[in-house]
Amino acid sequence: MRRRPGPIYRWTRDLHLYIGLFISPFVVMFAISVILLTRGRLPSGPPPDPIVETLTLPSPLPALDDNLALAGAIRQRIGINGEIDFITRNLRRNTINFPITRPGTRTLVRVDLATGQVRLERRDRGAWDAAVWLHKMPGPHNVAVRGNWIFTRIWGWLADATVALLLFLTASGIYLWLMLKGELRRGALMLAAGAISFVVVVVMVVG
Amino acid sequence: MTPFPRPPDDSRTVARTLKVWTRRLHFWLGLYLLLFVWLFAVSGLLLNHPEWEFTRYWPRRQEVISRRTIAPTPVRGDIAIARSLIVELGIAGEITQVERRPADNLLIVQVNRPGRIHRVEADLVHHDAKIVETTVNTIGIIDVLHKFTGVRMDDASQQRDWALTTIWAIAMDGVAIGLLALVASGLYLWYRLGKKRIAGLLALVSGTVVCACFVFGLTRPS
Repeated sequence: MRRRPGPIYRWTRDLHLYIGLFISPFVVMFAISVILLTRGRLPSGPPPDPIVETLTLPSPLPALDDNLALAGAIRQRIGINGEIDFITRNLRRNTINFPITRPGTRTLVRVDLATGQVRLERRDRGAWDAAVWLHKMPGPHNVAVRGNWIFTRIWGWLADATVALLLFLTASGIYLWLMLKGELRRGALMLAAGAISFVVVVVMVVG
Repeated sequence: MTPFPRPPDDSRTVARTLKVWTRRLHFWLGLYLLLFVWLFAVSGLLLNHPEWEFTRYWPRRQEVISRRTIAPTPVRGDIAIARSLIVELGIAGEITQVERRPADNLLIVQVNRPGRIHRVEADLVHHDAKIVETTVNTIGIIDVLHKFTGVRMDDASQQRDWALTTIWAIAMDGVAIGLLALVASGLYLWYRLGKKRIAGLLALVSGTVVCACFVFGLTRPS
């Protein structure tokens, strides 16, 4: 008679299943963006010419020394949501330039602070670029301003959660494999083959 | 009356065999990719948390400066000279920067590999080279392994020129394709679990909706 699996096994198997299903779209998104990143180009081709627009700020800006606060005030006035990236402020010319990025779209904002004139250069690159943007966000760069858009912060939490859940899936997967008595040997061979491949390729690349 | 024995149902046998092999593929692939997945998952986490003190490897880097005499090179063109130069100096890695400084008669060449950066400032007139070798700790190596593709989305001119960068990029692609296969086989195995289809569908749909909101929903500017 076949023995009924214990509660720990059943809980682990169910969690492995449901967590795996929940994060599978994220894993697909990260995997596809890896393939794009290792090619260094998008299937949609090179970036299109920017759509250029000029406008005047609808209301005067407060006097702010903090570049991020100033860029945030401009972002609010021009009504473009997204993550403010590297800010360049020229005090002599009284200008400030910064990109506002979001998945699939990048808008370069150039503002003449004396006149309130704004020049916007927007490039729309679609879902492929969105996947690459999300893969890289929040990332290690520009720490001082990173997360100035609520959705970048939320995405950062989701990316962390994806890692934590992926690590759980690997641990629970090992446990489920160890419970499959008939597959121990073949599984160990695959694990050993993977470990050898990993060590060989890392040692070659790192030197 | 004795019924005739039921003939074997071919479609059920095929489905059962497919399930058994999909299950095997799922955990064999998962076990094979285990260390790669751990590397990319943990390095992704470290990259997203530069505020964690222990992840700041760059201030802890070590630099060694040396000078070498270099032979006159017969090749022409900055890229060709850079390649010849790093072979002569015994440096291995991906060339990430080649820059000519005519005012100083210098050719600047930067060569990267995970954990080590060589910056060569070669004076081609006086046949002399200054070499700055920067090494970083294990966190730095893990960080670079995550991003070591040899190409850049924002610079089409940057091409891979080191065989091991290509091998590493193939490994990254292999892990990505392996993860896609794990997802596909997992979806099939879930589909075959009749009792858990509804609860599984809820988990899958909620993950898809959240992910799609970011990939598609935030694309257009407001």
